[in-house]
Amino acid sequence: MDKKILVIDDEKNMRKLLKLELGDQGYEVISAENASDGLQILKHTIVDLVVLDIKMPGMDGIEALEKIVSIHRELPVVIHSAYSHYKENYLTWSAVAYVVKSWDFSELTQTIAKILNKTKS
Amino acid sequence: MDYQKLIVDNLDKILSIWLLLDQNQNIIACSHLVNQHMGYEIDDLINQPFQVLLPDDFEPKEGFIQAFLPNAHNGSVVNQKTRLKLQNEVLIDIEFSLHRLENESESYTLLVFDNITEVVELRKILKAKTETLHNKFNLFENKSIYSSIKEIIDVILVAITAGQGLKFNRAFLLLVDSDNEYLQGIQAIGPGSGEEAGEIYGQSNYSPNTLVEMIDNYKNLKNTDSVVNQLVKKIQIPLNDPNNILIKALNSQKYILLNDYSTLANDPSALWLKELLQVQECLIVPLVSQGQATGILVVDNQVTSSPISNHDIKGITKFSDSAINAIVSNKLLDNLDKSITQVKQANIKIRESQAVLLHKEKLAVMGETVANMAHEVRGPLALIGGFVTRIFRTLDPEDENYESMSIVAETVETLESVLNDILDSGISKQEAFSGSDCSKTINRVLGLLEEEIHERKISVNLNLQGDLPKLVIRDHHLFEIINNLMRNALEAIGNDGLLIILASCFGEKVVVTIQDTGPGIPTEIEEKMFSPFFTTKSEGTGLGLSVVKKLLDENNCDIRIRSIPKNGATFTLSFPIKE
Repeated sequence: MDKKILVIDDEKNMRKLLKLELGDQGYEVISAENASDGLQILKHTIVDLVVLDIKMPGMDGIEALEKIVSIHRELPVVIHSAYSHYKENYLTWSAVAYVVKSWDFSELTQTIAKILNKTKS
Repeated sequence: MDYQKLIVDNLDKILSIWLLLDQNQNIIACSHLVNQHMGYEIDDLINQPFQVLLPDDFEPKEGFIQAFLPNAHNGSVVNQKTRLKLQNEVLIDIEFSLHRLENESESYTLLVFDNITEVVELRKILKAKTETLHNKFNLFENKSIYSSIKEIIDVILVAITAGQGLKFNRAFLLLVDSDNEYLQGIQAIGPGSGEEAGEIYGQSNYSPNTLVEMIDNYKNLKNTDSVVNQLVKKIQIPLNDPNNILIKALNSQKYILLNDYSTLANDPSALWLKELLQVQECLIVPLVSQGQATGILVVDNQVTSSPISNHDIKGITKFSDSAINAIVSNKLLDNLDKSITQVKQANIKIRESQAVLLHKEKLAVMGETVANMAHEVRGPLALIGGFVTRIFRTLDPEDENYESMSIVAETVETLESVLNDILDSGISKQEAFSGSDCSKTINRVLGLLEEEIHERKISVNLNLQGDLPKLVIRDHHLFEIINNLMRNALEAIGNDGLLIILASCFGEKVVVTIQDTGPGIPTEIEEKMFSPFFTTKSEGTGLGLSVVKKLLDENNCDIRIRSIPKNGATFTLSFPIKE
């Protein structure tokens, strides 16, 4: 069965692009346009990994991350942000990976593949 | 630091008379020599208008300083003449230089006068010297002898040998060199042989009346290096050779009359000197200034063989004092000139660093905004790049849009690297980079400049070695470097010219040469062209080449510039290759 990834990003086209890129890698992608919606989805849907943006209106990614890991301790979260300096913020350290947004999605897909292969084995 | 104090501290080391004026031309500081040589009490002069030193009938008094300013070069006017009134109402003609010293809030005028002591004393001694000289030695009223040390030496040597002067046949001047190691022959005057003597003394029937005219004649003659001049220039004696008769005279600071009767007659160095000069008798006079022997005059009567009399000795020794003082004071003036240049350079540096500081402040304020903007741009850029890459992957190389999409993709990549560099060098994938393709980058830049090259009718001679190895430099750095240098080359060429680009591999380096047929780079610019904010263009920040230099340094690359005026400039870059 395909692995399921939840993308939380307020930018519609980024959600679309990630759906395509990750879909190419054989993942099933569902998405949410803000952190609250994302948390709602997680309440009733089992996903294998979350790709989380940080700068979002309303609840930001850092707050969302805290909530996600407190409820779903085993769920890997990959932060995917245009900002690199949040890496210094210890509140982001509970994410398994931090990938800076780039035109080249290979870093993101490789990171995700590594994480999901590990959890499988 | 107090600017005025800085100036005065610097000036205090100077041995000439100087006055520092404020904006209203009031005297706010002056050297202590004003009292010694002009007779004024310093306290009486402070806060007085400068005009009190001008003669009563001097016109125009008011605009005195302003009158010189139009001729100022870099804030300085040198070799100006004026008449000053001493405290005892005696008037003197004197040379001076005027310098504007200013920083952003203060502005001063510095007047520096020729060493009055020397002028006064020289005139006094020379006037009293002989009755013949008395009428004719008006040289210092008519002519500046202080314009250069060479001219002073001319005057001294002519004065010693002229019929109207001290009447020696020949004179040789030697000076201690600036490193204090040798006594070095400088210049000589006199006939080199008997025949030459005949010629000269034959001409002396028509000899000019004044020394001034003689000096002018001598200067005209001097173009040909005379026999005695060649002779004296060969003399170079180490100062640590105390047995040499010239060094003896120098050390003892006493003249030596060398002839068959002198105690040193058979001294080896005395014999050497007599042999060298081909004389039986000569007089060695040390030139002493402020207690220090700084040179030697050797005079003789080789042609006429007249014995050197006590009267002659008295004359020359007295004259030698003023001679050496003239030389030394000229050197001091020279030093003063250098000090002023230094103060000015310091001024320029302060101004430059202020500009840089201001720029840095602006950058700091802008920095945050820029960083924010850059982050905001990174997201959309990732979108553009991501979608384009997806489309690009589906295209067949034969597709008409293939090239366009590849250009968009490359541009996005470059833009993102630039962003990463601005924001945080750590996150860009520098560890994983695969090396840069030099030929590809050059072709890419040429592609971007194609239209301009065509419009300006510039021919491009491109010679890139096939299969060049990859370079250890990030793509966008290489792009930035090549792009900057090629654009500069096009600007240098203007229209109608040739741009030569060569790339080949030498050992462990790839060498790229960018050569243009522009006007070349003046040497003085070459040194500065890599400093930030330096530009010769009316537009632009001047950051282009400094960025190039920074990128080259960061990537361990070298740059060499060779420029032939009017024949263009060649930039040679060498890049380490990836193993």
